[in-house]
Amino acid sequence: MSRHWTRRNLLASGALAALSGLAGSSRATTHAQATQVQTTSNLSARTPEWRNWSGGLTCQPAGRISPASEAELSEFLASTSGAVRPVGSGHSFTPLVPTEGHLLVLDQLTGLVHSDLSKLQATFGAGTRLSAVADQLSGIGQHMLNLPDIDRQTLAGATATATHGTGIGFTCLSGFVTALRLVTPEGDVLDLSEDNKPDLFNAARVSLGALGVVTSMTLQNRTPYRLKAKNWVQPIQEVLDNFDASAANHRHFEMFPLTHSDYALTLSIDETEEPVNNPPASPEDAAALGAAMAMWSATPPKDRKPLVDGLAAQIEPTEAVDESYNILSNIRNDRFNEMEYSVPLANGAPCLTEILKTIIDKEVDVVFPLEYRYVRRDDTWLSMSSGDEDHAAISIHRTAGEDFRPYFDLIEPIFWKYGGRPHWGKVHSLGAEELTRLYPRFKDFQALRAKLDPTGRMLNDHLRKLFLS
Amino acid sequence: MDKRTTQMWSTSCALCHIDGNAGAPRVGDQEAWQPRIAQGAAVLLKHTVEGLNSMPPLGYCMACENQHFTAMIEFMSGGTSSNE
Repeated sequence: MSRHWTRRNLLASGALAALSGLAGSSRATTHAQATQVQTTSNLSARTPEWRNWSGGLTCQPAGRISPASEAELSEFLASTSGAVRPVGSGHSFTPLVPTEGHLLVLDQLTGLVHSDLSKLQATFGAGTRLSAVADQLSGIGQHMLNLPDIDRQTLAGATATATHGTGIGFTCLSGFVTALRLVTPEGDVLDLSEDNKPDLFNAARVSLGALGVVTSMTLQNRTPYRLKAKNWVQPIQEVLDNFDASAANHRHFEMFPLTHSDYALTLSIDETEEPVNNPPASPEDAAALGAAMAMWSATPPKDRKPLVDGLAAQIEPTEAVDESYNILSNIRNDRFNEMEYSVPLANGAPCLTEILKTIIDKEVDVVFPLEYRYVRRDDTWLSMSSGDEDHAAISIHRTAGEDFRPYFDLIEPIFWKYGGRPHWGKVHSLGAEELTRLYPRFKDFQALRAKLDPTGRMLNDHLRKLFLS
Repeated sequence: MDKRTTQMWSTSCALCHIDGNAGAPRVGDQEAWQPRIAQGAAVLLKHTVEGLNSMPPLGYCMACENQHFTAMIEFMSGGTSSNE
């Protein structure tokens, strides 16, 4: 009997968690960043340790600073000289945050600051979560142009890492920013926009928190809109053969290739005026999927294809209609680690094909689907799609708690072969030398960073590897 | 909870503990909280800081100190609800 299994069930249900328990029962958590992984918290410390969303990164900061105003933040930075790192929601899988200095938290610099109804623009405190931005924009007759899969991130964190959604017509979120305010490492407050210090503006829109602290930003939005999502299963090769046309014909189009399978979960999203119809995922279907995937996982990778393809064939197409922000983002019940690279559009299909073949050939024991989508070019200095060509973004995942290194280490050179640029918030191993070759403005960013932060107080070990040649 | 703790709670724990997202026990749901309370305050604090199942470490509250987490847990589980 066919099941009402959906992309949402597959990615967000407990199925993958249950599966990881089976698949990962014999695996120890041995991340390469082992020095940053602890198994127990130091609860006796004055301030609790920090951990990222997946739990794989941790640090014991000297303290947490949560300024009540931009002036308070400016005063703190001007009157101190120690190491600081801004933190958003902890959704990055790269060690952007870990510090023995102070964590800077923007949870009091939040909310709608100003709106321009004629331009459909709105200014928010940079600590505002994307979900709260969407809610508050609705109240003033605006919606965001696009959103990423997860909307728990803060505006500051999401833009600092060039976080993006799906769609050849949409840049990363940083591309929606029309102005921002930056408090430099020495405490100076700068207003930046395309008309006011444009070089610094284009650098600060994707800054990894290395140029100072962004305290507010103005977003270009649009009128409210409703979206209709359609999910279906289709052979991977068939989707790839028509991907450019599909991406052009839909507001959003992406696929989630299943590993050890010929099939992908496919998703298109388009504007609609149909009434809202977005029922929650069925717990029964999720449980059935979990059971089926457990069987799949218990089978050696080389024998898995018939089971996976058989499961895929039972997944029925589904549709959902809702307000834009309810369709574009969803809640992830299962935590994971992720590697994502963007390659020039023409390299997308061959890169994905080689990754999927490698997973089969090397019998990689992974059940998490990949993600494949297009992102529009932009004029920031360091976004993955900065420059004069659009990019295809390809993601691989491992359930949190599993050792992701062998899998990610196997796949990462394939991304390099196709000219991939790493997502700043997702696992990668590149340093300044490689990054300089990938980003035409990388040396300019390094010079700007050195000028704004001559003592390197905004740097940690990871950022020193990225920015200090 | 005091004003600041309430503010922190409303932008972190509340994301899941109001609607019960991802299996989170809802605020004031005594039945859901009872087996958790039975584990003791130290265990609940440890799970909050380290994360557990779908709940991320620190419950999305990057500014919280241990005393804030303790107050939030008491509030959500139906314990002491106000210090003001």
